[in-house]
Amino acid sequence: MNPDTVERPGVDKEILASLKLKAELKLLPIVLRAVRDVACRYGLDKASVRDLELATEEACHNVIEHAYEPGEEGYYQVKIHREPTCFRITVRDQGMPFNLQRLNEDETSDIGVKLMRACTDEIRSRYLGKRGKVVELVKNFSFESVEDLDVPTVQPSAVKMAPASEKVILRLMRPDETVSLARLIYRVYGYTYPHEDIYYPEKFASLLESGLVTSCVAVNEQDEIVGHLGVFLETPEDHVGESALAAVDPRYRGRGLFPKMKKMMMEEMAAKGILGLYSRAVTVHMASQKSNVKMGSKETGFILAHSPPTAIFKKMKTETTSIRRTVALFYVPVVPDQEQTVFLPCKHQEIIRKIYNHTGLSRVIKKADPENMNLAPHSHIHSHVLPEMASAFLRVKVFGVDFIDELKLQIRDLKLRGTELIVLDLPLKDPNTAILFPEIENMKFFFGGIMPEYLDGDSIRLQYLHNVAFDPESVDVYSEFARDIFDYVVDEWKKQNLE
Amino acid sequence: MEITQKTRNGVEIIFITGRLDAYNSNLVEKKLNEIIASGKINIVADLAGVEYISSSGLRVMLSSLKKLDKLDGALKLCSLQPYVGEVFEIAGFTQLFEIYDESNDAVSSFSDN
Repeated sequence: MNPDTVERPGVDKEILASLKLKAELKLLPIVLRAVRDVACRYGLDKASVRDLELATEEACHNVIEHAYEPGEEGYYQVKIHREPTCFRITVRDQGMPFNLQRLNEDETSDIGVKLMRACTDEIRSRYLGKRGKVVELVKNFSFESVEDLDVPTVQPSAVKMAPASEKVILRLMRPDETVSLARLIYRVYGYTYPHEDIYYPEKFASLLESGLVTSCVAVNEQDEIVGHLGVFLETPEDHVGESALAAVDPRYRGRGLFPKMKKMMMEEMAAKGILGLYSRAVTVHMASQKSNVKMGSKETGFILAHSPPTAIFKKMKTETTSIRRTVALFYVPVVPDQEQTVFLPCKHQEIIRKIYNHTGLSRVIKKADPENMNLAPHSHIHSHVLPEMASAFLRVKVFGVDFIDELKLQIRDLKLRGTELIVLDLPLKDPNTAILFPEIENMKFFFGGIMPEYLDGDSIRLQYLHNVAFDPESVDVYSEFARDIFDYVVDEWKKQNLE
Repeated sequence: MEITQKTRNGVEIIFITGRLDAYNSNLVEKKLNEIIASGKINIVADLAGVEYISSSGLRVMLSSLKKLDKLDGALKLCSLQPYVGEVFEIAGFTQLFEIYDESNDAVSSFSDN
């Protein structure tokens, strides 16, 4: 490790450096030096720094050699991003389009591509229309899996309840407690919990430090974690968080720890300016849905075939099938709801009205005027890809004149990368959502529900399944209202499947 | 980037120190081309001083290997640092090159043939 290396600071996603250079070979060492120095100073280990540098050289050299004609003056931009769990380098140019698909082909004879793939954890590439093309290189921090730690297992039959006199207190979790949390999760779920970050204590600590995760823990008199509930933000700008990773040590069940933790987190998040909590409840059984309903959360939709068995799950061979599991969406506000205006797509007005009534959210529903469509020069679609889940979550932030083309390109790119589920959130406060909706649905997206306050206001959530088997009979639905939404979503899925 | 050269038992050894990246590789290519043009066809590249190599460096090595192969000569490699060895491995180049731990072994291998 370089002596100049500093500890990874608790920061959110941030751009550490941005360079714009003429596409000339003699300037390439400057880029590589920057990547090397920045990654090293922000805590990446020596081998990973070299990997990142090598992948960056290959990506930049490609631009220098092929993006511009000889004699043509062209530039490219390199940005170095640091995120809680990884480094990300983006290389963007406005030169000649070339086949980005080859970066993701299974078999490649291109040495540069082989090296880029071997040296990164993920490569993303996409066309930006007239703004050129971008290649993103992702290198994760190396975290030790809890699997490598000495975690004692507790057999359910061996559970002995803790004495009722033993005190358990609730407090916020510290980043230095993640191993203890991993042990709790292991006791409760084994390796079956779908959020893999939890099995990498350092990675989870980094998320806590970044503020993207806030956790409430229940601790016993020995300061051992015996209960946990986390709230995850996808980006620091989010207005709603996801309530997840609920676990109570079997020895401390029957004390009402979960409702107490949920109440504490609702107050904590309200104090942080968060408007509400959503959650994704599994449907292989009804317990999670029941528990959400009991805590006052309301069903707002379903994502069919949402979760594949995780890599660790598969490794443990506890699952006999690879069928993706459906989740129910829930929402609960943590502060008094503010009335807002929404523009609903005509086709789904009735079901969305029902969901709003069910959740008790006050909305003024207006009709969008297609004659007065107002589109920005460029679209902004935020993309969060989870390769290990073969899933991608897209959020439309700005509708531009290029929106449909841009969305088509992103879908094509995601499908080529083996993405099975694409979730698309569209802002309901923007009338363009209602106007463009039929065209978006024609691209084989189908209705999944609504996500209150998810996009600086509510969003309508659509989904797209690519070569995925789904069996409605495999889903257990708890409440009558949830059954209505589920049937509606399944009908929409069937319509897309029959076309 | 520093390139030095010496002859041992009729074999040309070039010692490369620095980074074999896109920017520097052409210097190594030029040197190897000069040696080949002078009629010397048994060459050892000692990479002990190379801590970084990219696809450009690999291509230079491959191009020289092909040229020498046509002339019934050879380019052999020695003293690769672990990371450089890994890059050769990933690219599949360990199948193409004879790689030795020490320059003496690489030089002697020419007389063994």
